[in-house]
Amino acid sequence: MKDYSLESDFVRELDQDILSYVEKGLEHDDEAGFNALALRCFELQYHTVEPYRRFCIDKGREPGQVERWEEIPAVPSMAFKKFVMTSFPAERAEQRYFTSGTTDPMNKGKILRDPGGVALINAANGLLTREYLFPDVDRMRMFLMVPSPEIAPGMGMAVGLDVVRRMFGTPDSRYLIGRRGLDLEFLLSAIMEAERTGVPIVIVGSTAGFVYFMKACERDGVRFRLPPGSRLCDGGGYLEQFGECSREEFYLKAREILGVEEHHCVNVLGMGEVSTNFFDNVLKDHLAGRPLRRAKVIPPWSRTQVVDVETLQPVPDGDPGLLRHYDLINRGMVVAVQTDNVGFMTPGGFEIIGRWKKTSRELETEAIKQAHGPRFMTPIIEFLLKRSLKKVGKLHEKIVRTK
Amino acid sequence: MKRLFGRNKAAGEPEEKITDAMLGTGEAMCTCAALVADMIVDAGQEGASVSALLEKVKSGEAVPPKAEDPGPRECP
Repeated sequence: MKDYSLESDFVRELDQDILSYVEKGLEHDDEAGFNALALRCFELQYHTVEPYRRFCIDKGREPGQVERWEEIPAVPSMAFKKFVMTSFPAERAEQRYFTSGTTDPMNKGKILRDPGGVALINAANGLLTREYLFPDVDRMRMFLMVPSPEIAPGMGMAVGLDVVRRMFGTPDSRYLIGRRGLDLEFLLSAIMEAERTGVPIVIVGSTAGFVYFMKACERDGVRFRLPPGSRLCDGGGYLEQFGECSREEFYLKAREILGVEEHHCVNVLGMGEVSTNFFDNVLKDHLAGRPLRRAKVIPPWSRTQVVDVETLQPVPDGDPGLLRHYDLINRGMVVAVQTDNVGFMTPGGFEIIGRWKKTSRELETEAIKQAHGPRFMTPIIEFLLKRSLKKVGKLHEKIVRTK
Repeated sequence: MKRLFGRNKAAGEPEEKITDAMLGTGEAMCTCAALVADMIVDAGQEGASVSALLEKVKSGEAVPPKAEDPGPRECP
């Protein structure tokens, strides 16, 4: 059999070619090039990811028979919980982290990255972060409403955001969540300092964290006016919901509580099983003078399809269905991933509107709403965040008095 | 991590295979909002388990941090 090890010419040349493809930028559109690279990824993964190979055989799809990227079997995202889906030996992983395991914390998914895969991710997501979150500045003071990788080495986003901090953050950037929860006093101080100095900041974190924080400020009558250019970057899926408030309310609160306009609020869809992050286009479009039409941008090295929940066949553009991603950056896992996320295609990319549960045969609004805090998570988030947020008013007064 | 790996079935066990029936659980693999829960699970390696913490939280026995706790100020 051909050598598909990490040291093989096949993998090294594939990595180099994918990297070159990424480095051609976001305006580069090469369908034939994408197709060829996707098929090479498929060949590698068919021969090295045993559970995937059996899945492909069941579907009658093998390398050599598949000519188009659309024909590559898309593995259900839940497979990442049951199997180690890597195209290299697990002991060769440079990074290893777990997905959330919100239903069963004892059965969390495992995401492993080899050094070449990490390089691809950093290049691709670095380019996207520059283009859609920092198109107008080199670096910015950054506050991360997540724990550091030192505290949570098994958390994918903590690892990913550490790269973002190093690439785009100023030296005084910092994490806001430690072992004992949110450092609210520091967050308030940082926001007020930005108000005083006029130096814009960026706050990055989970959508739920923003919701809790802004609602607590609202309750206690605390308002800020962050300097122009300040921005928020939140992550999390939703069905017109941001945890405990709708999408529209989220942007309204961002403006009223923090003084950040909607076009400076960038939502990012990030998943453990898909390496590329999908950024909202709003900030880039605003700076380019284009009207606000929020969508998640599909970069040249990935493709997104919307498929019917029953037939798993593509639906007409604009119709809702399950999101399926083909991502060259997934060289170390599987290139085609079928998610439970429900969304639709838009002229600028796609939008996600929720999550599908087949038990009810429909989109479950309540389940999606709870996706930000299902079962054990809600009381824990309350424990970590709300306990701090209860004192937001008093802390604010204290800081005002001491300044 | 070894503990969690150990609890999972080994990859490629013959009785299990990937099927399209795995779709539609309605569960996110890695929602950003689940990060805090992940943090607790990982912190559990150093002490309290998730279930123990949950019970503590539910019963109101959890002790909030001291006001003077500086938190994670250092930028690594």
